[in-house]
Amino acid sequence: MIFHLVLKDLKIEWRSKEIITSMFIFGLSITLIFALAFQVAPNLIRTFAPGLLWVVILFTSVLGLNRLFSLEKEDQALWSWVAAPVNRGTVYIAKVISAFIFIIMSELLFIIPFFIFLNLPSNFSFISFALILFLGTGAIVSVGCLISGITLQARLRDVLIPILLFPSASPVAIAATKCTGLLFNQIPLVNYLFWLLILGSFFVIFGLFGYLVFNQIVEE
Amino acid sequence: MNLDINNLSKSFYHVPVFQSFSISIKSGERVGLFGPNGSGKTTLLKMISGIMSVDKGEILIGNILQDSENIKTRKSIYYLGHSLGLYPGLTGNENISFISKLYGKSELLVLDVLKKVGLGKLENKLVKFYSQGMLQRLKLATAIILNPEIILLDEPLNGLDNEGLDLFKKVYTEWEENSKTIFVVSHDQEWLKNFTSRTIELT
Repeated sequence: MIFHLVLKDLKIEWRSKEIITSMFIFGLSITLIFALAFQVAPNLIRTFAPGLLWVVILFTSVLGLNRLFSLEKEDQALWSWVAAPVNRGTVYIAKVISAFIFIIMSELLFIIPFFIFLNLPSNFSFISFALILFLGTGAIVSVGCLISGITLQARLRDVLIPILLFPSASPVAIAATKCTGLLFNQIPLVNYLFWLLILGSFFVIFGLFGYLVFNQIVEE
Repeated sequence: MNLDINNLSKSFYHVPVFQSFSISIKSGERVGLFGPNGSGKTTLLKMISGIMSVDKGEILIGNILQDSENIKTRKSIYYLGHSLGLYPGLTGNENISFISKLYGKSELLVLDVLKKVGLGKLENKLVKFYSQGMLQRLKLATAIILNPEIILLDEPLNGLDNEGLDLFKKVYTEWEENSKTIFVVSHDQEWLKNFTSRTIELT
């Protein structure tokens, strides 16, 4: 069932390319703004770069999550699965997977310009960086999909998602920034395992919580 | 399959729409519902289908309580509502196939059913390009393929041309012959009197 639900999101995105394109352009725009703003103090950029990267990821995630859940509200398409004999928790899991795919793809597109525009060195472990991106994005997505589900029926949904997501995901942003900062300074992975554990815990705990409560929160 | 609603209450922003509303519909019965705008006709159908939660009271689908945790009851009902309830970014065929999978139904019949409702040639067209009448036919196709025991129809004649109306009558007659329980909302009281076994007015 999860496969069919994810496939449906992928099919719609494959045709429209709305989510990934808008996230990429938005991410690129913020990166450019940061690059221009930090021209006055280029020596500080390496210190701030990890935080800036996660700000870009968090902002673009809001855009992607908002659009992904908007698809469900267009012509009340969500009725197709809300009224169907399926555990709505599986729909939440499918949304987490779809959102994760879209956000990771947009990250892959704007991370290279991020490093180029901010003139950052890339002499660090790419595997560790991929692990941080995987866990950080997963944590943002599991919290984000839960909040998007809660606000699905709200009139001010577009505004509510960032208002609720930014404070809820701030521990994720802090932990991910810490990990990325230590990685950029070529400190071995073992020294920031604690922060990775926080990211992993967020991913799993919010994922389970979303799965359990999604049944109730999507009803009108 | 029986449909029983006992002491149902529902409010929106502290304004009650239903207060201790009860109704019992026997298996195979066709019941018409009419009333002025805002009387709660659509709200009632949405609550029965599980799209909307209830504040108080209970809805029993074949003696099984309808609630968000109960998947079984939702398998027996299909709500053909005002809104499309389908994805505009998918084709007609993809939409029906997707819903069929959600209900555990075979996809093999999708094309046949689309042909039956006159959408065979449009199966690969994105739903966002369908006209109002085509959308109504597509919703009808969904109801045919899901073949539920209880069918909730909300203004089913809207947007249908003469050919579409004939098609709807044909499908409705088939449901009648197969003893489906039908709860239909319409402003057309004359139609309701002719095609249902009893009518209820919501005030």
